[in-house]
Amino acid sequence: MTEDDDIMNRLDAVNKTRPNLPDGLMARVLADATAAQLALNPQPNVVAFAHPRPALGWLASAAIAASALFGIALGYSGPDILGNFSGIAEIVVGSSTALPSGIDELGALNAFLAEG
Amino acid sequence: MQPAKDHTAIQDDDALLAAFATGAPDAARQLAATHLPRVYAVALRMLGNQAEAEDVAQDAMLRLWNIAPKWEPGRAQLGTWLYRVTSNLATDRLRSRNQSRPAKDGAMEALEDMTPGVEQQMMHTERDNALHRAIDRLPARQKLAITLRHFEELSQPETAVAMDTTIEAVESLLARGRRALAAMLQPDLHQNRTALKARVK
Repeated sequence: MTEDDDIMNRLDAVNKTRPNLPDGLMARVLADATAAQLALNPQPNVVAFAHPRPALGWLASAAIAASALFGIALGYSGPDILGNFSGIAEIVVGSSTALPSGIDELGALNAFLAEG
Repeated sequence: MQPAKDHTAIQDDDALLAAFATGAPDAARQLAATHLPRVYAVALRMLGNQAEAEDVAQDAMLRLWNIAPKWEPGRAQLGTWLYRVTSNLATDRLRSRNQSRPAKDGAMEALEDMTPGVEQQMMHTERDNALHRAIDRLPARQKLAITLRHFEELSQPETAVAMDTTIEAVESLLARGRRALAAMLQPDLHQNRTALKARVK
């Protein structure tokens, strides 16, 4: 028997059982697989947060600034300033600046109630 | 390995990999159950160190997951491709280990690093133990050729594909590896021959 035959025999006879996998290796490999799969197939229910459209952002900022300036002016001048803006009083306070009209309406209501 | 079996294995692996790429939940588990033990065994035999072998095995499988959508069915055998990736990763580790610790005997150190459980699993007898130690001292390419041919029981053409080389080069590596093993184990072999002669007489 030659040395080469000896070595061949020993290599053939040697225990070829594969080592057991260490604890946790399979779990780590499967976690990598899940991450790779998610990267390949993003879930449809995962959505990105939508940023507001820039044009609307500017518009909103301008409206807030205008409201603030108008509020300051109203504070300094009182409600009389509303008379300078035709129709704005109805928008701001929800009633007309023509004070007597309310009295007429109240008188008509009282007359109606008195007649039964 | 039977050719028909190989063909089925290729089809199964290709189908599983395609299923994995489209998001099938169980495909990764089946692929890992088939290939991870082989990948880990080669890495452990190459490196002789459990922690490093785990890293290499995990890295090799990660490359498989990442290549899944680009995999061309029937072009290569998945098992052989994985052996190649694993052996390249293990060889890189051996190189960097040799560069960082050139004065030390990496092979012996690696054996000392092995946990008793793994060592017991891999080396059942004292004879096996001596052989494993000798294999671990071989140059990386010879060690890989011996591991793939004699432990993973690949054919020479499969070993050549896994090592990205020719069949002739594999034959040469195996022959040189066996000669080196014989030289390292000479006292042991001499003892065996003497015992055999005594038994014949």
